[in-house]
Amino acid sequence: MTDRPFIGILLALIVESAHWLKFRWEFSEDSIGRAWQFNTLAIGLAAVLIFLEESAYMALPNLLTWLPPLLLPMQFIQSFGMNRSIPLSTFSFLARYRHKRNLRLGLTEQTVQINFGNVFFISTLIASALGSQANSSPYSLIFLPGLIILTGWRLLSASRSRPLALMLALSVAGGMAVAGQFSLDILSEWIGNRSPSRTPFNPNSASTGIGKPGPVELSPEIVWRMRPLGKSLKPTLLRTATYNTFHGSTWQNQRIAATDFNDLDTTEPTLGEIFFLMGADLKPEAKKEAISDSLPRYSLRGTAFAETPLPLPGDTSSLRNFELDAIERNSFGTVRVFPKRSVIEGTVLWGSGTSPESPPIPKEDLTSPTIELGILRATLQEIRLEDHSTLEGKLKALRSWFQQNFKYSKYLTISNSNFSATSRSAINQFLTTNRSGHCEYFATATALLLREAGIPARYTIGYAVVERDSKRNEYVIRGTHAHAWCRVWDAEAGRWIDFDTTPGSWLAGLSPENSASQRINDALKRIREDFFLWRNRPANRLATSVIMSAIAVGIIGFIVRRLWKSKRRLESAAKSTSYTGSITPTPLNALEPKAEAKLGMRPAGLPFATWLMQLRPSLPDSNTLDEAIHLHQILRFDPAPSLGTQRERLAELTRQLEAAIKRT
Amino acid sequence: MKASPPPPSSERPAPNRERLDRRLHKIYYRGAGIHYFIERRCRPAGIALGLVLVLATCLGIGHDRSSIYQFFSLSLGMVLIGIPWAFSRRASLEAKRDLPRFATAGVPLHYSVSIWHRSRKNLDRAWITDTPPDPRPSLEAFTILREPGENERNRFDRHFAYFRWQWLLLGNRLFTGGSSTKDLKLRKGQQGRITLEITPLRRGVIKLDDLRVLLPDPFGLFQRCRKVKAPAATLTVLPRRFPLPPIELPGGAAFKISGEANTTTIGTSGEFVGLRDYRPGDPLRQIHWKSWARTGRPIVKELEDTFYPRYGLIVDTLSCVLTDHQFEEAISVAASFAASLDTSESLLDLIFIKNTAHIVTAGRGVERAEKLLEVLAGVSPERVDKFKELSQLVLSHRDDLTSCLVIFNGWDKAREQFLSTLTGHGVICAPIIIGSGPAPGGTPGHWLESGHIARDLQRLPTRLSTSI
Repeated sequence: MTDRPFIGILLALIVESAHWLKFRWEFSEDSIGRAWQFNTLAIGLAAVLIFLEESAYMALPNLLTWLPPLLLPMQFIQSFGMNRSIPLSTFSFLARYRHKRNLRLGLTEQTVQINFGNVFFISTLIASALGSQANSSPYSLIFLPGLIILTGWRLLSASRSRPLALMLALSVAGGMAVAGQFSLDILSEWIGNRSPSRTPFNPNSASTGIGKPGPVELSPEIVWRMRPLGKSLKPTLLRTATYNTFHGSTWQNQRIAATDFNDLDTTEPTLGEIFFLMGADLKPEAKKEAISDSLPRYSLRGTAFAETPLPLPGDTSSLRNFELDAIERNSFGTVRVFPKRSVIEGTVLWGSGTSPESPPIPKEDLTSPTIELGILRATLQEIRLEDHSTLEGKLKALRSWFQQNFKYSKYLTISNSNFSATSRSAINQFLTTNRSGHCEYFATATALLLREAGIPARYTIGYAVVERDSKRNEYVIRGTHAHAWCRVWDAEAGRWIDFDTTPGSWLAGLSPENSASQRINDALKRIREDFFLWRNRPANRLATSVIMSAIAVGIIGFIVRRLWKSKRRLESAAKSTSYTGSITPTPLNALEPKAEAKLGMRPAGLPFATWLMQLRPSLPDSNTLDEAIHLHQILRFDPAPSLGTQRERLAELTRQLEAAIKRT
Repeated sequence: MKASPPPPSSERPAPNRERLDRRLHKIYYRGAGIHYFIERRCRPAGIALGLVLVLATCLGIGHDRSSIYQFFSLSLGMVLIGIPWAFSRRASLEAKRDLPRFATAGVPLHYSVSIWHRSRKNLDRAWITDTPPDPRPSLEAFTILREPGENERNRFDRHFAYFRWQWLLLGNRLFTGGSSTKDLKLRKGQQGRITLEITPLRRGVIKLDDLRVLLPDPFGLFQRCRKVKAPAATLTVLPRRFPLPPIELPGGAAFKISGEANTTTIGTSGEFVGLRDYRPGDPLRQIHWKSWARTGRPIVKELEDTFYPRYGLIVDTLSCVLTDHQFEEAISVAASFAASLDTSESLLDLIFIKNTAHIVTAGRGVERAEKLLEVLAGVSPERVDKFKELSQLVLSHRDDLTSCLVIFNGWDKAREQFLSTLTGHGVICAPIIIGSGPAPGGTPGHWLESGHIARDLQRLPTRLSTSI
């Protein structure tokens, strides 16, 4: 809701206009039931549309931000209806069924009434805590004071007694809220650091599970889908990010993201066909080569949001047909996108034999943590890398050593003990005693060993392309396919190459048979993404917009027409049943306009005194009203001549009541 | 047409079902107790805040959302402040209810309560509530009685019988309301007066002996519920009554015009005919004092002899079906007739079985109609067929009765036999039968469908048909 302030203001105007508009509607129980059915339908439709637009993870919060406009029909009934509450059975199909059954059998039942305004108020507050702007600094500063003021106003309007106690209690609760927020922020950070599961993508830092015992849990959700085009082969590894500084259990890239990321160059060989080039400042020949028809290629489809890293082979040359607001690459070859919409699709051209990363930085790409130097040297002596003269030989020996002496495990048992001067580091334990771990251990150990052997190496994360969906002729990339490996500098070729020492047994651990629920989730995701892309194709976009708008206009027009008609009926009924004989006015009649602002227009046939009695709960002293009504009745109906003092007293009471209404 | 079912005691459920019922009763009984305990201490706003807390927790887990964290923390803070605040409040009150003698089921009743504040501190923002007696049904009632239409429910509902429990719970509630709407504000030692409104739900006697003061926290989320010292009070709730159309009972005034003396004479207080000399034995109240003064000899007023019809209102209190719903409707119909018949111009004998056959008379010079309603308020269902005893009582008054209105709770052979016994002995009977569903063929009199009594009563003709 924070990103839709105008809708919020419009809703507030509609709801609050009930205080100054003088017409109301008589909504029957059936009408309220129909309105709730309409509301349910609208919420269901919105849920489907939001699910098609957003990731399932974000669907609930996003739906909640739309709740106030979706609940408007019910709030309209509450604000502009003649009844002050709505039966709770309205909101449940089963309760409505039971109500009808009880009526049929003549059974009594307990009817619970609720003021829907309270539900609407709470849904508005929740919606105001969500949305894209909810965490922005100016908004989060005013949110809590606003929340406290609105809550206090609502509680005070329900009961006017002990306002000081309420303010004191709310102030203390506000203080607790501030403390709670800081505590939760710290707790959230602490849980994030302790969890071996992956944290959200950060191009400057990748927290690993090294030294954190426990199972490695990865989501089986589909992240991307790729389809090799033509006779192209599939790439084996798709890189999302590369880092070059290892510290503790985290790999880092010490560049400043804002300056290190630069827009990709583009080329448009034919009108409307835009290629994003991975290499910077390419010469015309190189550009031509980067978009050459002979290059292998694949289409990539998936959900993306701002700063989502694209999974690309290490030797990607160009990208085509992605609908993006921006696409950037940093000096380590990490590519991130700012998509126009939440689902993107395009073609990736790769296999050009070039790499987009910058050449090695000796200070960083050859440096290992001091604490690890001893074990790295000892390990290198064991592997005897120096016996091999070529890079290829060295890499082969290293891979062979890992394959023979290590095993892959997703249950981590090594605990990081860096805080103790005498204890061994997690990498030390991995290389000496434990010799079991998951890909992050292998990639980290390999990178550090290569560096110690004088070969520049970097740590890379991404996905392994392992699951083929033969029915759809595409490859599925899931969260469970997330992988880590190394990028090694091939000085002779002048480029970085992929090097993976994780034993091949890790692929066996990836269950090809997904559970039934996962298959359903996969199908839903496919439907969502495919429908989204279909709907947003230029040829279909206009048609769907016109149809949806026509349906919306039709429904709104129908409702407005019905409301307009029923409003007119109410007015005409008021005229036809109004009393035309002489009326003895009393000073209390002057209170009617003020009371109307509070209670709405007096319904036809409802006696003035009975109508005014509805003010009682909101008045600080209801005795004044009781006395005023008593005098009003005496002046109107008592056949004895009225006393001037009674009229004066009533005028005085009317003034007091006017002031009291104004205050409420 | 169904024969009278055997009494419930012989219709024991299967042992397995009995065990299950016992277990379900225990669970529901305790569950209702816990629910009641929480409901009295946690206000609707508190429940709403609890739901908000759960939602905020769901939204906050795994997300870095400072606004949601603030929302969650504020809600939690309000709960953490509200609970100790409410439960640390104190109030020492004494009260006395000022109750009327009678109320009517379904009709709101206002009564006032005088309150004396005995605490040392001022009392601000408190509410008074009169609590109805525990409505939880006994195991026997839960096992034997059946919710109307229970056989139409699905197997799951029938198995767990939760709706039966709810129906019994609702049926056992004696009244709704009973809570003050205005805040109670009393200085130390001050006396106050508040008005409470209750709506009695069923006839009978209500014993009010649980007056409580509710002390909420400043947010109105939670409240302390303390007992108030107050003497117990009782209230007789008369049966719920239905509006009746204009009805002439058989053998009424119209019948009297024909001159047949099948009505009972109750004194001579009719129209003035003339004056005559005093005769020994004339009542003193008939002496015309002015004429005596003028003539010097005692003169009395001569009045036309008047006759008043005497009707019998026979109520069938036998209820052997697994619900007393219809029985209550029969009592309400009887109460409607008892209240509507003009007892200033007639006598009305209420005849029914409560352990043994009873007859209570109301009408001109005897008792007011309220007496009959009061008697009906205390009638309970009979589980054993005592129509023979009832018919003997009616027949013993046969000569006094103009006609009888017989309210039947269902229709079966025993009732048919009872009616034919009365009519066979010359008693004019207008039967009104309450039964479920539309009237089966061959039923005498008028059929009122259970659940639609008010509607069917309005359809009654002015002259009720008789069964002779």
